[in-house]
Amino acid sequence: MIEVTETPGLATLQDLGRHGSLRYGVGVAGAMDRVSLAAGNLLLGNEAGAAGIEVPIFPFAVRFTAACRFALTGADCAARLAGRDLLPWSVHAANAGDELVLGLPRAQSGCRAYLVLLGGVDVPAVLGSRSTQIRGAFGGLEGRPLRVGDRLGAAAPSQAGPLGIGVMPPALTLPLALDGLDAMRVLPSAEYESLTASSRDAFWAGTWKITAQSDRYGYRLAGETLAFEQPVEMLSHGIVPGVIQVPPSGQPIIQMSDAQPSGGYPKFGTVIEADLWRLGQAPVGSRIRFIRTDWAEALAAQDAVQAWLGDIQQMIGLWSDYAGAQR
Amino acid sequence: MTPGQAIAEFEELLEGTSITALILTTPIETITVRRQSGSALPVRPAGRFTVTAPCCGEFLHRHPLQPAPLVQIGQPVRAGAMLGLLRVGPLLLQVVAPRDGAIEAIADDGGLVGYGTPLVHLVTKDDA
Repeated sequence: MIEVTETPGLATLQDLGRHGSLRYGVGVAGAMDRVSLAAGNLLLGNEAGAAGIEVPIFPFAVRFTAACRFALTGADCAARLAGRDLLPWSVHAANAGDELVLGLPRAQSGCRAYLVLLGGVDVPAVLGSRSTQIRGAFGGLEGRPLRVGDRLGAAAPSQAGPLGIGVMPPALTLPLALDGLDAMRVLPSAEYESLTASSRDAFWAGTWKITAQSDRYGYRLAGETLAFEQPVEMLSHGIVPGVIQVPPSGQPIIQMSDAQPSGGYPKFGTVIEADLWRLGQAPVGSRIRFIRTDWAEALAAQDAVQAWLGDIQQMIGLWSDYAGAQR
Repeated sequence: MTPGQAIAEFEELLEGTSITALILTTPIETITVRRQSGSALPVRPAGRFTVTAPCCGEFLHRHPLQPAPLVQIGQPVRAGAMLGLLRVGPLLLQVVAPRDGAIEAIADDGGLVGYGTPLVHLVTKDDA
């Protein structure tokens, strides 16, 4: 169906994650921006758990070896199919032989693009997920990032949705910014009170840079050094994506999709699940802000994301019926 | 009957009458078909091909993530080229040129349009 013709590295197959295996020491993995992946699957009428290709480094290119519908979501990366410009956040149709090229992401549009095939990429599920688990070298395609020459097929689609449609990017419909910078909401967690009052204030008031030491495992931030009232020594304990740790350097680390299941650094807080996709699209070198939130707001935020996806699903269904009846 | 077919039928009923609106109320929905008075583009000038809106929505000249409009006035386009987008709730529907031609006029960016509202006038080879 497709053959990878160009990849500078780290493009992986991802779905919504491998849940329920943390107790075996297996991390969740899954797309860094699950909202983009979910929207791509909705656009095509795929199952919610279908796997797509997450592309973090460009240019990335594939050649279609058979006609195939696909969706592009995530960062707007000046995509071209057989030399024609393609819109981001839309469904497209490729003919056999067409090459799809994803270029550098447009500024402010995110940093990861998702290529989703009709039916989803057909690789075996491991522990209930097709996500690539790089540390464990399983899942996805042979447990590794894609290489030039890799061939991927699509699972048989249950139905084909309409062509010529796209959706509004969530960065525009669910925006969240503070003083002009992308922002994420954070719930304070267990060791929050162990930091000095001035460090706690600095975390909320400060601007944080995503350093080059940031990837699918975690983001290392640079900003004001955070200090504890007294040194905190802890045994390793369970952690999940979103947890913000404060190591002895005082520069926070946010655990991301490939987070290991345990860690021993004190925890300042947790980026709420509803905002992890925003962080997943924040490029290295960009500056972000944090907004303090509470449990009720965090749940409401997650409901808002689900409602937006539900709205898309309903509208695509209506348009599909309407467009089908017009033909 | 689909909503599209219903609206097309209403249009026929309104044509040649002095009625300005037809409202159909059912237990689950209301459909209002109103005669357009101040459309941005005149309806079908002689010798021009008109691309019309397939449903109601907000007509956009560019993708919300991109700075440049999809087409400019005077630009030649091939059949299948994207002329604009129709935003309907969270959906962005592509408005596509059904045949080769040149853009003569285009409805306002961000304007609300209804079913059948003229969006783009194309000068086609047949017109020349």
